[in-house]
Amino acid sequence: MKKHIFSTLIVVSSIVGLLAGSNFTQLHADTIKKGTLTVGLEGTYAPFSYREKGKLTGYEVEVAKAVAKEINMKPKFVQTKWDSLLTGLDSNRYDVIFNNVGITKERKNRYLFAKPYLYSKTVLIQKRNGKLKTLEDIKGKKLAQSTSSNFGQMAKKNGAKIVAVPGMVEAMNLIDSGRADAELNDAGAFELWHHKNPDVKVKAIKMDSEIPAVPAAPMLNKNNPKLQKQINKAIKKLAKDGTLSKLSKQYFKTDLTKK
Amino acid sequence: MEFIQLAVKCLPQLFQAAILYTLPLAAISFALGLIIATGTALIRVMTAPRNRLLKIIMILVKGIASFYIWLFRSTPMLVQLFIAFYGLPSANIDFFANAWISAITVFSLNTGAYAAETIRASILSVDRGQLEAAQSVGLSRIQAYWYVVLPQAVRIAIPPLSNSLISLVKDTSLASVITIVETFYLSQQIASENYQTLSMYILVAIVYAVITTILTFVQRWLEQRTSRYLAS
Repeated sequence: MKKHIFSTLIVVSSIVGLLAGSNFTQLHADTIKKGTLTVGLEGTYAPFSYREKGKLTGYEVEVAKAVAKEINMKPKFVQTKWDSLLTGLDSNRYDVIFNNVGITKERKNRYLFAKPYLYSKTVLIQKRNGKLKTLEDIKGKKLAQSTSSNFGQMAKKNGAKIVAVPGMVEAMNLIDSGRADAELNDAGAFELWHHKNPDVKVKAIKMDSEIPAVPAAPMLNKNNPKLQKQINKAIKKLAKDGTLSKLSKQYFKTDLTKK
Repeated sequence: MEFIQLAVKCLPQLFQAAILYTLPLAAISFALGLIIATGTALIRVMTAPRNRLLKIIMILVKGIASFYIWLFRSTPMLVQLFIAFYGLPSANIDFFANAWISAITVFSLNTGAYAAETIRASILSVDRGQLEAAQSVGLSRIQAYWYVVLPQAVRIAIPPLSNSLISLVKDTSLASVITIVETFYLSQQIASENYQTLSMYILVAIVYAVITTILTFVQRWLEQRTSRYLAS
């Protein structure tokens, strides 16, 4: 029996060794596919990226398309859940993420950010008769958040109990049914949700005084400063010629592209 | 009423996603899984030959087969998907460059590990007397297995293998974590557009139930057809 385990181990370790030694997939190109800007996003987060009549659209989808056009590349969208979205950047599944990713210190250590294209304002969403007003109030309360999102981390830092959800739609469900007390989320996303669900008795408290607008920017792999520069240039131009403001007004009904 | 309108609008899209993603993922993975499983099961039921060198090789191969089954049954499929698609590239192993290849590899190896045990049990459950009788009328060992033991084992294996296939069909929804917008993720996307979550979840449940029901009929048909192989 012992012999049998031992021989298995030798075979397995030599296979693993062989695989690890092979370096045939080193990526040196600027993008994972030449001439194509592969963009990672959720596709379930209206109005950032979502489906309308079967087609992917949203503020970030359109911004990414415009950026790709500026740098002469074809945009290609890859959709996955938020919690695996960031992981995919490490393993070169896409070149850049456009998904309302807020610039934080922790993320900056690990990834590159291009210039912000959006200043996301935070609201605290709760039932209409809810009494939470400040960040201090959420201590010990149940907040429905995606754990690794900036809102989720903010809630955690302020002592809330996190009820993990995959996205905003599920979070709103939990609040409506009383299984969570509140949720921190983007003001624009809430406005749109409330517009489509006018009967649901929820409200959103503006957190502007406590939480400054979080700049959201394209997030890239650390080893890709060349692409970062190109995207920066494109965003600068799109801000200047009014494309960003126009798209923001179209999807958020207000201009969120300035500080 | 509103639900029926939504169903008319969304069911075609959901079925389309099922045909484009869920069904091919499950079908290809299950076919590959069956091949892997049959090979693994045969290795595990083989008896050691007398030749010394062959015996050592045999022990080694059997060890690999057991290791493989242990590996894939002892970790969750979700973790396996993450390792294949997100983990291995950071160790510069990237033959899974494509989400489909990652998904099919993991699904087929995972199903194969479970099905290998099903097939092994089915082979072992055929009465030993059947093999002896076949050999006593002059069939070789391989012939005896091919014409007498395996057909009976197949009949025994159909219900549990159908279970594996049905589980696999539903488990393909895990592929959404590795960037495949399959049926369930599509329903979530539609829900994030119209915010009718409960209705969308019910619709997607209907889609899976329809597929599974068809598979159940296929299972019944296969059982009837292969019943004639069973010694009664």
